[in-house]
Order: sequence, then C-alpha cells, then structure tokens
Amino acid sequence: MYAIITISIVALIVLFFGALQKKKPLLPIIFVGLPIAFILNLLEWNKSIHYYNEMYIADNFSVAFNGVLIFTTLLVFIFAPVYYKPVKRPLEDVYALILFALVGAVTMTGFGNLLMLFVGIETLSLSLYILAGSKKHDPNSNEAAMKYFLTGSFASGFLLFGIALLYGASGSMNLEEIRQYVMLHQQNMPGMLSIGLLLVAIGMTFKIGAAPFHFWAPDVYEGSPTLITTFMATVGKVAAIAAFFRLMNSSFAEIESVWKITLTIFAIATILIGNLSAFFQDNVKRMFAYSGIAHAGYMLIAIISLKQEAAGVLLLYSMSYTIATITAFAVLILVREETGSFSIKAFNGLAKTNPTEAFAMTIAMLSLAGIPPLVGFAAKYNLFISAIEQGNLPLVIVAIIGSMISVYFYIRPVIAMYVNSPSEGLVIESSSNYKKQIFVAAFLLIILGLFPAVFVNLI
Amino acid sequence: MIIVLLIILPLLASLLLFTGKFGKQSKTFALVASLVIFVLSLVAGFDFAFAVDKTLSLDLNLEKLLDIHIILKLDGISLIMVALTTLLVPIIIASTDKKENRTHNFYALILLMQMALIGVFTASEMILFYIFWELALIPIFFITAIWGGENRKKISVKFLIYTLVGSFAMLIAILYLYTLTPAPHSFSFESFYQLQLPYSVQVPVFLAFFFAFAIKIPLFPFHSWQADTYNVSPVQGSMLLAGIMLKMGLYGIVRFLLPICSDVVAGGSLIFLPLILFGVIYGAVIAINQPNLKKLIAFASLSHVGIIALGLLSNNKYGIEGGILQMFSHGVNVVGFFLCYYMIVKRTKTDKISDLGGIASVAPRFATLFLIIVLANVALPLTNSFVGEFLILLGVYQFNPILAIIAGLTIILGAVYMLKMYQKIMYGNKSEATEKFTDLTTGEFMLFVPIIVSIFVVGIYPSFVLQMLEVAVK
Repeated sequence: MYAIITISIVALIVLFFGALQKKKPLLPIIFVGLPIAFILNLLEWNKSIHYYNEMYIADNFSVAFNGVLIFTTLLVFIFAPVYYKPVKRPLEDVYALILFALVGAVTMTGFGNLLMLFVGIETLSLSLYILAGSKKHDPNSNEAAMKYFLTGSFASGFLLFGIALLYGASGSMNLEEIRQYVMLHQQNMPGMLSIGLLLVAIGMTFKIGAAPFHFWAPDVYEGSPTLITTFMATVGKVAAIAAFFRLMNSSFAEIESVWKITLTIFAIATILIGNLSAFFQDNVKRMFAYSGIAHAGYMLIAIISLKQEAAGVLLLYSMSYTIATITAFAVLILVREETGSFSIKAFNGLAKTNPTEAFAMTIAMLSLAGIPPLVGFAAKYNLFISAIEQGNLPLVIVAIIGSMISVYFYIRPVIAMYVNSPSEGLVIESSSNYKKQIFVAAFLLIILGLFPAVFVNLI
Repeated sequence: MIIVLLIILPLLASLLLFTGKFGKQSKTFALVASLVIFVLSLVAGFDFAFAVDKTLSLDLNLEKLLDIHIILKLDGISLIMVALTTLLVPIIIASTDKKENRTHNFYALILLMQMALIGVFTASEMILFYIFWELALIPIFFITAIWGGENRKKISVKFLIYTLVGSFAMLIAILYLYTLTPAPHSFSFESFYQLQLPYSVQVPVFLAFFFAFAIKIPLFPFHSWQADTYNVSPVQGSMLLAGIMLKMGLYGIVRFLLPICSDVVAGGSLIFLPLILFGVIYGAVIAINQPNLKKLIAFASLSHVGIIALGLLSNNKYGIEGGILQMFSHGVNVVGFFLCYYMIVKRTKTDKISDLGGIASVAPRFATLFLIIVLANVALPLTNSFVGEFLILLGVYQFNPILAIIAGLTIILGAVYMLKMYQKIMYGNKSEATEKFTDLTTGEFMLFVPIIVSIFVVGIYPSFVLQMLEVAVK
C-alpha cells in the first residue's frame, strides 16, 4: 500500500518538475523514488495486511509480484536516457504516465475486491493507451494507440459486464465472499455466475494478450515506441497475469471444472499461435510481440494447474520472462538507433562490433527459448512439473512442442550476430554504462538460473 | 569429490578463457587445463579401482536452495566415457593449427563442451542429466556456426533443431516417468530403475527415448544432419561430435533404455534391430563411393555406431560389454581418422579423394600411422575395434544368428571402403596437390601417440577394461 502511495507521489513530483521545464532532476527523482517504493513494498512481507475493508490485500503474493513489477520498471527507466537521447523536452508526461501505469499494475496484484481490479486495470490501460501514442508524429504510433484504445476499452467493457454479473449472482464484489458463495452453490451454479466468470476471463485474456484475444498485440507492440513496448510486454503482461491468477485462486478454485477446459484450450491456442506466428517474422520487434503471446500461454498453464505452489512458479516465470525481454529490447533499441531498422538483418555481425551486447542478447534469447542452465529453463521446467503433477500431460506436450518451435526464431538473431558479417562502415557505439547495464541484466539470467528454488518456494 | 572437480575445472578454465585475458596463450592454457583434467580422471580411475562397490558417488541435496538434488555417480561405464572425453579433448585442443588463428572463445567453448560431456556421463539425476545434455549442444553449435565452412548457417541451425526436437521428446518421457515414481516424486536414476512399468507404458517411453538417442547417435533414418554437420564443422568440431558427443546417445541407451524399458528391448528388438542393421549397410555402401574424404569419415562413422547400437540392444552380456568397449574404441579411432584427414587437408588444401595420391612415398611416417588407424577402423585383430566388434557380433549371434551373419558381412564392406580410400590417397601417382607433401613434424607426431597407444593397449589387453564394466553391466 505504501508502495502505491510512494509511486503516485513520485509521479506527481515528476509532473511538477516537468511543469517547471526542468529536465535534469526528473530521472534522479525516479531513481530515488522507485527503490524507496521497492523497499516499502518489501516491508509488508509476511504481514498479510488488509486495507480498507479488504479492498487491497498486501499478502506475500502481491508483495512478491509488486517487487518484480517495480524492479522491472526501474530497469526500463535505466534504459530510458539512451532511448530518449535525441528528445530535448523534459518528457515528464511520459515518465509520469509510466509511473501511473505502474500504480495500476501494483494495484492489480493485490486487489481484494473486483472494483479494485477494475480500477487497477483501467489505470494501467489508460496510461498505456496514451504511452503507445506518445511518438506524436509517427503514424504507426498513432495507429497503435488507436487500435489499443478501441480494442482495450471493448475488453474493459466485457470485464465490467462480467463483474456486474458476478455481483448480481453473489451479491458481493469481495473475493472472499464470492468464494463462500461459490462453495455454497457448487451443485447448482446459477447461469449468471458462469456467464459472469466467462466474461471476466475473456477480459483478462485480452489484457494478458492470449489467444483468441491477442490480435491487438502485434500491431500495438510494433507501432509503439520501443521503450514503451518493453514496458507493455513486461509490466503490463505480468500484472495482468498475476491479477488473473489471484482472481481464479481466491474465488473460483473450487469450481475449476467450470473454467479449466476453456482456459486449457486458450492456453494451447496461445502457445501454438504465438510460436507459429513468431516463426515467420523478419521484424524482431514484431517477433517479440508474438513471443510475448506465446509466453502468456505458458503463464496460463500456471493458472490452470492452480495450487498455491503454482504462484511461486508463476513468479519465477514472470521474472525470467521480464528480465530476458528487457535485455533483448535494450539491445534492440541500440541496434535500431544505429541501423534504423528492426529487421533481423540489422543484427548482422553484432558479435564482432559489440561483443558484450551480442553476448547479452544471446543469453536472453537462449533463456527465452528455455535452454538449460539459464533461468528460462528452470522456469519452464517448474511450470511443466506443476502441470504434470495435476495430470495435465497433454498440455505440457503442446507446451514442449511450442518451445521446440520457439528455438528456431530465438536462435535467428543469434545466428545473424555471430555468423553473418557486419554491413560495411557500421559502428554501433554504446556508452560503457549502457554496456554494463545490459551485461548485468544478462548476468541476472544466469544467476537466477542457479537459484530458482528460492523463488518457487517463496510464496 | 573428485567427480565435482572433473566438472568444475573445465568450467572454470572455460570461464577464464572467455574473459580473453590469455590472448595468444589461450591455446597453451586450454591444453594445460585439459591435461590436468586428464590426470584427474586417471586419479578418479585409481580411486575407482579401490572402491568397494566399484562406484564413486556424491550426493548433495540442495533442494532447498538450488531446486536440484545433485547426484553424481562414477561407475565402470561412466568411467570409460569420462576417460574417453578427458583423453580426447587435449588431443583436439592440441591439434588446432597456429595458422588457423582461433580466438580464445574457441578453446573456451571446447572446454565448456568437455564440462557438459563429463556432466552427462556422471549425472545420476534426470534433470541434471538433461541440463548437461542440452548444455553440450550449445558450444558445438557455436563452434560450427562461427568457425564452420560453407553454408554453416543453414547446417548448424538444422543440426540444432534436429537434436533439440529429440531432446524435447526425451524431456516429455522424463517428466512422465517422474509422475510415476512413488511419492515423494524423485528424479534420481535409482527411483527410475525401480519402476516396474507395464508393457503398454514402456512402449511410448521407449519410443521417446529412442527417438532422442537415435537422432544423437545418429541411427538411420535420423542421420540426415550428420554428414553435413561433420563436413561443415571445423575439424575440431567434427572430432568432438564424432568422437565424444554421439556417444551420449549410446550412453543413453545403456543407462535408460536397457534398464527402464527392458521388456520392449527384449520383445521389440526384432523390429528395430533390422532397421539399425540396414543403416549400417546403408552408411557403408555410401562410404564406398564417397568422393569427399570428410564425408567418407561421416558415413563410416554412421555405419560403425550402428553396429555399436546393435550390440547394446541385443541385450545380453557380450553385446553390451562389447558395445561399451567399442564406444571407447570408436571414439579414439574416429578422432585418429579425423587427425589424418586434418594433416592431409592442412598440406594439400583439398579433401577430394581423387585429387590425392602417392602420399606414402613422400611421407612414410604419416603413412604408417594412417595405416594403423585405418586397420583399427576395419577391426583387424590386435587393434581395439576387433575386441569390441567381436563381442558385439557374439552378442548379436546369441540373439539372432541371421542378423549376426549380415552384420558380420558389413565388416567386409568396411574393409572395402577403408582400404580403397587408403590405396587411392597413399599409393599411386603423385598428384598436383600432393607434390609438396611433407612428413609429420614431431609436434604432429606426438598427437598420434596417445591414439596409437590406446589402439594397441585395448586391442592386446582388453580384459582390464572389461573387468571395469563387469559390475556395472550387471
């Protein structure tokens, strides 16, 4: 709770300094404010505090995921100065919106009431709609914002309608009270509740970018400014999946027969569609959009094999996914700066000109593909085990086939970097600081791969 | 403890090399490191000889922290494979020519590969095994993709995807078996061995494992990545692949298929042994008319490993012992063969057999060594392959005499392509390319020494190896 307040205050201060047209203090304020929020968040560990009539619950689940979200945002901000180097104005609006989006995300992980879920999602989404269009003069960016806004508000409508139906059936928006209602009426479920649940699930599926409601993702990811895409693909996705998990786990765990089959189909479709579509992309940014869809499918597996341990697995998976994605995007931003293109060809010969970046990119790609001993493997392995223990072998087989396909498109940039020779006269300059940051992120992927159990058993 | 050292040391050496601190001394450093590891493996062998139950093991339960239960075991089979790895890696590193100008990363990748291979051969826990199994793929992929020849991009990706598909099938089988182990579930080999699977379960498990191993080995019809990859890879990469890496698949057959799916192996052999045998003949026939020396080695290797698989799957004492012994011998021989190839290509810059000829008259030392290696490859008595192939044929004969007779005939085919190739390259008229062929330098000669020695030691006195195996095979 204090994290939410801190982040909001930081965002307001940033806006204030922006109004004064001061550029310099903005990032330092954020770099002080976010770690404070991170620490305040961790202070609520093991306390399980309920705020405001269970509107917001700071249990270990939400604390852990908030930690991931705040840390990820911090990483995004670390790469911001390079990305926004050519921009002269203070950019307070962009920074503040990212922070507000983070507030929404943090709210979503700890909601105890469906209203809070909706408020969180809307705070996150509205900020993201604007951010997607923040490259004002780029038609692609405008298109992305428009598409995201139209489809996103449609999904929010579904979600709200679903919440209303749930309320109509159970007489409450409190997760705990809904759970008790569901337990009492297991035998004769009112149709209103099932339909409400379905509509909420559709809304959430849209937000995490899973099939069959994934169509917005590729265009929006491709059109948005790359740094925003990074934020969207990591914080946006993890927050939504955490909220989805929380919803299913705390209210509907007893009636899994109602929704399990639907979600299993969604997950299978997501994994296959995401991986198969990514297979054919030559544009790395678009490829990441599809890879993000595929990973949403994997994370759905954690929801399907619902158990308290699955929360830890989901946490590990989100960490491995976010860090690897951010590392890859950081390299992508650099490559794009110099070559002006997102195509795989832009990576040609990067290993010769920039070995550190190429190494980091390789680690990130191999981790996303789930190759041992990186954290991506540990995450997938724990996920599959938890699903198999629930007797979900067919789903795991599909997931493994998906991973198999994914190896090809994750390895393509690596091949381009190490095998192809660089195009002539191309020198990608990166500051040693940026290099260090990328290297640290890649290093995290290796280190986390050695200690996965710490996170799996955390919550 | 010594097992851990065997794994940690190559890793450390490889990490040190990756930093690039050693510059021009990288090769020396890598060579020294690999020699130290070789000595360590000798020490491990010494320990092993005195161990009561003929296994060295290490059990570290780090489930709380690392999510992994590290069980490493060194029994007779593992020891032979580890010895093969530690013996060959120094030769492979030393064989790189100064002119090739390999960077420090090249040696680092070789050592990383060594670490993964030793890990595969000593792991006694499924997930650990799988991690090492996959890890072994990464360095060889980069070695091929970065330092390979023409078309390296396409071929290295094909190789990667091909083998990964196999390993994923194995992963599914592993996860499935894990759910069958009694609660609390465990990944240790022991708990997998204790499963009494009904026949209907064994069949899919067998197929998944066999698919993974057949790609790795490779067995017909999953061999199509092999010839291209060997051909494109730099010769050190080919040595790693043919000498050690494909033994991973055979090792897998011994470790998993025989104990876990024993009923299928016993009952279904008549279905898949003829298929493997067909692959053996297929490889030999293609090798006979192969114009390219490196591809000839690839197809000869395809044929030889097929015979090993035949022996292992014939599922009796002779076949298995012979198969394991032959795994070691084949590794040594094929690396020797690649060394000869490398010596020729270094000097003549061509690997077309028709462009070569008359080398024996100018390079007698090389001719002798090459002849020994060729004869070892055709399993002449007193050489290492003879013992192995003899035992394998004996084992196959016990299983089914007709198969054994056909398999015996393939040895003749082997002699045909080997001797034909030797004759064309070494005798006859000198060609343009071989005009200025110089004999081996002392340094190059030294590379051959360990290979020749092990060919004769195993060939003349195989029983000490077989004794090591005895307990483990049971």
